[in-house]
Amino acid sequence: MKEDIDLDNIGETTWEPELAIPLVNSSFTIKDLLLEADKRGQVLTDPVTGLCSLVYRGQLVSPSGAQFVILPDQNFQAEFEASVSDANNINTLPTGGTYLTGTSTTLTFEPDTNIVIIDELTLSDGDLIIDINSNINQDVLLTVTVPAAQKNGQVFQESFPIPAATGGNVSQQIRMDMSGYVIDLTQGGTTTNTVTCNYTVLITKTSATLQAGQRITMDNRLQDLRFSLIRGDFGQQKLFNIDDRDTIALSLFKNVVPDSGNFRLNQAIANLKIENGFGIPLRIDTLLLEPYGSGQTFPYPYIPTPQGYTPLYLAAPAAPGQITVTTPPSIGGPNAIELNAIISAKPKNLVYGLEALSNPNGPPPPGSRNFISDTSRVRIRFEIIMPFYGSAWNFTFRDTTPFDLGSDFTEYLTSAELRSTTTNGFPFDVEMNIDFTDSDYQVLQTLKPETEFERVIESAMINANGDVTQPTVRNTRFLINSNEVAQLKDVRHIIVRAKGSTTNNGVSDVKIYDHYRLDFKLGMKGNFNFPVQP
Amino acid sequence: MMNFATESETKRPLTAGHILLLLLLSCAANAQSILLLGPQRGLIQSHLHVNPAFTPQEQFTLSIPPLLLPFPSPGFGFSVSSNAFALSDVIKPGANGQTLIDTKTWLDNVRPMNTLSAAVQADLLSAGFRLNDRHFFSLNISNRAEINWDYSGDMIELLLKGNGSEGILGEEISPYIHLQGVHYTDIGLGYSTALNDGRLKAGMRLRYLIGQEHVQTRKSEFNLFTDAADFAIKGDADIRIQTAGLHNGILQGDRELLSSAYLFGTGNRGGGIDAGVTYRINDKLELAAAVRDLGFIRWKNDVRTYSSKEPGASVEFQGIDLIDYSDEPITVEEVFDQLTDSLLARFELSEDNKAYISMLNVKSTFSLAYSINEKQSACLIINNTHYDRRIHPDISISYSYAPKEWLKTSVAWSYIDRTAGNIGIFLAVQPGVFQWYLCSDNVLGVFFYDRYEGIPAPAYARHASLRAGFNLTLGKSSSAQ
Repeated sequence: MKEDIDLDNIGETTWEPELAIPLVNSSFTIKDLLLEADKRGQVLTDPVTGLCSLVYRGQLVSPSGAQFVILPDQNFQAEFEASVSDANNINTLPTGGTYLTGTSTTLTFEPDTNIVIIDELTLSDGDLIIDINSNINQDVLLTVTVPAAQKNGQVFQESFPIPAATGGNVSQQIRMDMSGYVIDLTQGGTTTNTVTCNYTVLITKTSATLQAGQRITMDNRLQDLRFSLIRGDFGQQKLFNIDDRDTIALSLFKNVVPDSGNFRLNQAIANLKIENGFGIPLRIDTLLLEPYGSGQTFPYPYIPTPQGYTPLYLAAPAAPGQITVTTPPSIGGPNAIELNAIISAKPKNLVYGLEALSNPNGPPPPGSRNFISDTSRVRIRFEIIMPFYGSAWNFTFRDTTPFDLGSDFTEYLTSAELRSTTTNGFPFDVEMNIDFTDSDYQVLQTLKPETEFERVIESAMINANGDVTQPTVRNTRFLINSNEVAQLKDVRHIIVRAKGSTTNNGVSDVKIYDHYRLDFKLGMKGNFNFPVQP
Repeated sequence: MMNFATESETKRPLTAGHILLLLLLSCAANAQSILLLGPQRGLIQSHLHVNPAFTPQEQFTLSIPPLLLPFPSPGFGFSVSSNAFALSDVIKPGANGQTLIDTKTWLDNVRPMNTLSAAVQADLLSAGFRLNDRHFFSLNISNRAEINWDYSGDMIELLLKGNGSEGILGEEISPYIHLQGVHYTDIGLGYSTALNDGRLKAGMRLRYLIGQEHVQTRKSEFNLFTDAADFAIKGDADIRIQTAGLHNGILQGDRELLSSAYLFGTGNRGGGIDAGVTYRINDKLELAAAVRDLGFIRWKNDVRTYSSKEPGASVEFQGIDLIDYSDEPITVEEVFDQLTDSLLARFELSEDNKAYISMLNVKSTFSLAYSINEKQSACLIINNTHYDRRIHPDISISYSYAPKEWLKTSVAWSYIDRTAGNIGIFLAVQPGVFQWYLCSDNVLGVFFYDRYEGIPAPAYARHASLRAGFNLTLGKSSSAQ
């Protein structure tokens, strides 16, 4: 016998396998590639040719009808004073006898701007509030009637008792709901912004003697008015101001390193579509389209509109709830030098704005009066379409992404080899490198430290039309030695640096179709050292 | 009730070290036979365990437990074999009293196909009675266990070196593992007769078997391919493993291993037959042939059969699709988890408890004995074990010398489980009615050992075997005289 072996005390040993696992297997279309980093864009495909375009859309929205016309509170007075005749007639009545008389007043409706003329007002909300002060020593029943206000065919009318003033003046407030009433403010087509309110006073004789001069005063207030529809004439107002602009972020260029590379696009176009929900004819007098990017300069300060583009007349819809759609001609195209040049300068934003005037031809005639509802809006829909037909060269991207290999993983990894295989059906080359940084973005190591960029994706072959004829396969290996592996555990971000060019370094124009694919496979072979404690 | 075990002995739990030792001790498919027992035809054990046509010289032979105190068995034997390594190659003493597992040596010695096996046999009762010169009867009760583990070299390489290692990466490998283990009680009734004026002898033994534990891989088909270009992993598996008696006791270590209920009352019953002939060509030469372990056990208690839910279903993992993770970062650990989940989901096993039948590993033995003179003889033995649809042959050439009537010796060279250089000895001492015997096919493997948890085990040879026992013998047959 040589040894005593203690099987309960097996020492820690190591398991040092070489494990190979596939990490990534993805097949990207142009939509996947662009929209992964560009959530704001949208890739459209020409249904006939399959040519893809990148589209960014924006929308400029006018104030709503409720914001366009503000209805302030309207105040007006009314009073009933007993005349000598009224007093005589009442005092001759036996106790309990009744006497009917009344008064009325006319309200001139005053919107917040005096250029708004209201023919008809449909209230969605609002109250008529009357503060009553009476010194009449008889019992009174007050009836308020607005003959021009109707709701479901019923004229507005409400009655309220006012007790006899025996020990001093009687004060009370009455509140009447006006929501749902349609009010004709034309007095039968003779005027505008005018409405009459009638007050019927029914006096019931008491034992007291009515004195001439005793009175009821009524302070009226139309309060908290909200409309659902107004008909009339809204005058000539600016619906959009040139300073109210919308900015479209061209996020394709978001991560482009400033002043890097060149880009040539041949057929960019911009489209406007205007939806008018106001029952008012409009005219666009000015349209502004300009690039913007902090620190960026552009070959042209703005994108000119085609000749005769403005003034642009927008018809009013025929009835509330409808809209008219106006689609002016596209801006840009193959011959639009300025737009293509501006897009080729990789602007990070496009800014657009316009000025629009209501009733450009003057007051609307009878039978074609304006209307707006509280929800009416005018929407300016803008889109910039960039067909993938052109070229790019030395286009440099930089993107920072959170990254964590996982402590368990790095603890036992001693060295690694990454192998990537790309089968590229796109007409572009990509060179890249990756910086691994700590949480303070200090670079701990670089994937391929001996070079700035490593070619990982090789352009597919193209023909004279710029169409791909054959994909290209490229295999790449990255080695991570033991020293570099030790640093990986502190890595919290990776900075991906990439430089892209279309085929032949951008000399030839290429097209990108929706059936192009980039197949990307990435695998890792790692040497591990796992401690084994039985 | 027979119960020779104390509470503390039977309830000792198995440790990871014990299981490892058991695995490493389990080797070649033919380890359960002891070749050098073949030439010892006067020993009742050769009648019982080599060829039923062999008969002892004595009129009456008895071997029961009290005769070989302090052992609970009057005869026992074991054999272990590994054709890839010796135990000390893999389990080594380390610093500070710790034990080291040396997987590198294992890897260095691994072959395309490797075997580990072990067999243990304890005789509880052996008895023989010669009615006259022609008829001999025997009765025996033994408890036997054998375990055989075949494994391919690429499976070990895959486990220890990983799928990214040279020789595996880019190659389609089919790691193979076949495990078979059986533990049963064997009750046998034997009969042998001499014909043709004693030139021809024929013997047969009918066996009643009671199974205790069983495990067998009925199907073990794996295929794995790791693509060298992108490390994509493709694999398929078809697995079926039958087990019996493992879950409700033996794996928990709380069996009363020597209780009669355990040895005779499990309800897993079976039967078998051994048969053999000898033919004396002339006064010098005798041919013998035997077939043993033609038998089966029907397992019905504590049965668990594990089968692939989708036999042969393949799974391919090529990596994650980044498009699915466009909004969230992913770590390599998560990729590992996905890979594991993919494989496990595809290779899920189902379990059933249906009774099944297992067959014993059939053995066949052929021998040619040459009598040099009254005291010396030589023998050539070929022993085949039919296991896992293959024949595993062993060959032994022995020389026997009996200087005295009470002393018999043999020495042998054997080729066992593809390992040569096995030197065996046999020694029998028979002063009067007492008969002690000792037999080993590789004596160096027995006497050069280490103690594993206090248990001696052959550590420096790839094959070791030992059989020893005691018989009480009475009378000498006239034919023997």
